[in-house]
Amino acid sequence: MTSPPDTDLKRRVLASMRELPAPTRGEALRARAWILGCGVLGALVVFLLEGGGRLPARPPSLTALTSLGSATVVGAGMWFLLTRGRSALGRPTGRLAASALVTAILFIAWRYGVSALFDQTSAWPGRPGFLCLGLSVATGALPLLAALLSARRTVPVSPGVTGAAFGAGAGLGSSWLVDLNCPVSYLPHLLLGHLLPIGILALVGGGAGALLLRLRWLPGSRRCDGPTFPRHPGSRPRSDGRGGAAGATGAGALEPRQNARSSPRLDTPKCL
Amino acid sequence: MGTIDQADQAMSRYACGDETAFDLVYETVAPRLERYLARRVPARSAVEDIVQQTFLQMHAARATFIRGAAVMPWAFAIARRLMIDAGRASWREQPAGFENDLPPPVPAGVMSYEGSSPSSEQAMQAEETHAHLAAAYQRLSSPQREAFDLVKIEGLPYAEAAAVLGTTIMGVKLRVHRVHLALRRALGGGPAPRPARRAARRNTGPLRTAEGS
Repeated sequence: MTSPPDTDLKRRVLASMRELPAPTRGEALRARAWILGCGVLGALVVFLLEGGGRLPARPPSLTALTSLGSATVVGAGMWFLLTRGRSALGRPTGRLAASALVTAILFIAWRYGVSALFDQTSAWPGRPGFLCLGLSVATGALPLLAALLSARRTVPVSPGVTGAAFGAGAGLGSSWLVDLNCPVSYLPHLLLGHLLPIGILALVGGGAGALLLRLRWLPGSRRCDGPTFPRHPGSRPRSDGRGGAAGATGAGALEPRQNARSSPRLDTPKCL
Repeated sequence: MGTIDQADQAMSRYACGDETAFDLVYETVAPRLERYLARRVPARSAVEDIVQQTFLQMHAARATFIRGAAVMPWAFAIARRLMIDAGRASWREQPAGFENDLPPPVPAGVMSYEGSSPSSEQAMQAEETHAHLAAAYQRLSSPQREAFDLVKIEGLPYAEAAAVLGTTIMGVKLRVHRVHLALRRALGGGPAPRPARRAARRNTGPLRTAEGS
């Protein structure tokens, strides 16, 4: 039932593609590894500068047990949240939300549960959790930015959700890092200093993702070179070639960019 | 191996830098994209622009294409997003796409005349039925039409259609089901509209009254 493709259109597509260099999978992987590597390195630097290198005042066995367990939970959660699975469109929103929620709760539950076994869940009056909150957010911001930059303008469906998933993943990673040197396992502290940053980074990631990850019209198609999209399909082409469906196909539409500038009422394109 | 599967593999090769694989991707994807967009965008030039831009986006983001993934949902999702960005809300959707792309619904009686031309009465009846269907289709909401088009016309599995539309599989199934009901009603069959059924249950509606009399 499909008709053969238009050869003129194909010629135009190929011509516009020739003008836009695109990295191959290998090149993009290397570039992404660089960006993400820089993000993680920056997070480690921030962590160390903010005093993250102190040894925790906890029994070594408790530290090892909580760190290993939470590393497993966080690793699985980050893999699910930061990768797209087998679909080019990424994972469904519901699964991403559920995995972020379940991983974050498991992370806190594990920390609290293991600490309870060692009787280490008492309150620390001088540590309400704001220090951990700030450190987690500061540590997670750079990997989040790196993840957003590495995937910018490539998410056609729900870029905000994808950004929120990136934020939750970065938040989990940073919370795990901060968890390494935080001796406090008092539940309100864990909720404020270790769980809330995940939510904050997910919110920030959602907002930033909606801006950075969404598709933008690329230069090369006629829409970017002139106002080919009229507000109303039935509108007549103007004599100066500024609009109208028919005008889009005529010479006036192919012409100059100044048309878009001088015609504020039209849907002017936003090119790269 | 089907054409779509070959296109999936061709897209994977293209993502790795095999430029010759693009031809197959284009030949498979472009006609379907044009057909999908033509049902929603009235201006032919705008359809071509969106198709061109979709391929440009696919080209620019080819490195992000996952090996073994399906190319059609990806292409549909990009085209849909570009279409929305281009201001679909300001366009009047026209029934032309529906009339051009779906085979005209033919009453059962006409089918028995295969090989010979149907009588003028049957042709008129077929046209009337077609007009009813087209009108019923136009009355549907845009999300319902989109779900129906992707699943029933473009042949996408429910999961892929859900991914394109950014909704759940159940959501897509529900929309397609509602389209089925609406089209069935337009053909004169199927269950009565919900308000009438509710009224019948309350024993005050026109259906119950008619049965009682």
